[in-house]
Amino acid sequence: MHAARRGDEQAFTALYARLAPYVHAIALAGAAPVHAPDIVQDTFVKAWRRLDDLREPQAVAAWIGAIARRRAADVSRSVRVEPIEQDVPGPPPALDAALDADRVLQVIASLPEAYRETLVLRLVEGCTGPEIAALTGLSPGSVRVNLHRGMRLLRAALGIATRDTANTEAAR
Amino acid sequence: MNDDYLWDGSGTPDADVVRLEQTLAAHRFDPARHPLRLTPRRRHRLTRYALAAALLLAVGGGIAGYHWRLDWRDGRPWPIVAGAAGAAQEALTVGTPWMTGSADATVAIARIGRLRVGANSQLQLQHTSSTQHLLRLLHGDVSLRVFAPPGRVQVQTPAGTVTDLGCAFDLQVDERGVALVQVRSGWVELENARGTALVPAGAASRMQFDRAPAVPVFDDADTRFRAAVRTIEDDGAIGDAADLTRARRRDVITLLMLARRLAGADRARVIQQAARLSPPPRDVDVDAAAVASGDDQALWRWHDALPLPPPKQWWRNWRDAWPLAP
Repeated sequence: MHAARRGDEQAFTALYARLAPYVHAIALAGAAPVHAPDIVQDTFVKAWRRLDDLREPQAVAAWIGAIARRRAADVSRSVRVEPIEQDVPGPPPALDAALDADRVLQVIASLPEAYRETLVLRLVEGCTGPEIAALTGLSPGSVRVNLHRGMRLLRAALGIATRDTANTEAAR
Repeated sequence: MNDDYLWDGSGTPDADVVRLEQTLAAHRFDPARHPLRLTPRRRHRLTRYALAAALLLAVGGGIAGYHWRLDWRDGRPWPIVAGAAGAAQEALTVGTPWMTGSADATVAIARIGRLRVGANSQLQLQHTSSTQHLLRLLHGDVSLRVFAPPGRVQVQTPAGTVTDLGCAFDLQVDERGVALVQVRSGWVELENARGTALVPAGAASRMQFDRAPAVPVFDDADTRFRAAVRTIEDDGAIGDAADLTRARRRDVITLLMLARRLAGADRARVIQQAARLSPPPRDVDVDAAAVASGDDQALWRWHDALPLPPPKQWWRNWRDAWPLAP
């Protein structure tokens, strides 16, 4: 980190390799997937230019995360967001039906803010709970709770809860 | 339900989580496939500090320079910077009459400007200080170029006082004591016991002791219009006003100042002509009919709304700060 602050491009690229998935998760949680790669690029370019503003090098992930959230919010505001189509009344579709990744991301984006980034980090970027805690600065306990509650809401929104409940009932 | 798989991928895989992972895997970010494109980093904080310091220096330097420019010890002579060959003196001193010879001379007006004095001119520096410079021109011609707040430089003539309002102008005093003023930038005020006149850049006026300073007329105005204005001023009434219709939109200031010198139907005719060329702006509370019937306050509001730089904005004539011969 210190080398990056001195202008060492290689050191900053290593930082990028480590934090890019985190920034990408923030982008996916806050804006349309098609804009996520650009948000990642913009975030790191801005961070690179403003490295002198970073007062606590150990807080670099939180600092870059804040830049990414602002950028995602700007992009989201500048792009007209299509509302999520309402499901046709009737039984929710089973998970076995082909899941549309974009739809899943849309649903995640509609969940409470506390769960979005955690879920994307886990389900999209493949981070484990402890890794998520290290990146976000949250306590492992908080991450675990966010994952659990977020997943429950996601299942419900996608109609998986019905099957899950049915399986549980069948097991009994 | 056991969350171990959701937590750290251990334990029995949760089929739903696995399916979601597989579905969303296409969106997983691979930094190797999206290389970072960086440009060389500028030292922003350093740049900001340097800019702030430069700005402070510029502002501080500007303020100091402004005060230095105006500062002048009471009675300190004005240096003669060119000409006056063979003259006994090298500076214009307070109270000492000066008659130029057969050539022009250039004198520094303290630090705020230049004074070119024509051949065979007679003048005297009456007073000089940081706040006021007073010159007396008995006859001859001078050109002043001043960059300072209005009213710093005054030239007394037998006809009255000419006050610089941040400008450049030529002043000529003939053998009869009549002063002719031609303004090249900014504004000049002429004043004597009979009245005042504000003369903008590009216009000229004249002054003699027994009558009010003439209304300003632009140098490029129609010749017959200029003659008509002078005739009306001299007569105090309009005879044949046909030539007044040769006024242009730019000449409205002349018409307004001329109207001040008139009354009744004559004033109304001049105001009508002015209103035809340049009616008072709608956002200015001026009733042309009231002006025609004698409302001088409304007339001045109309005058101030004309598209001319305001007399007090002397800094607009920044070119006059250049130390060039006038």
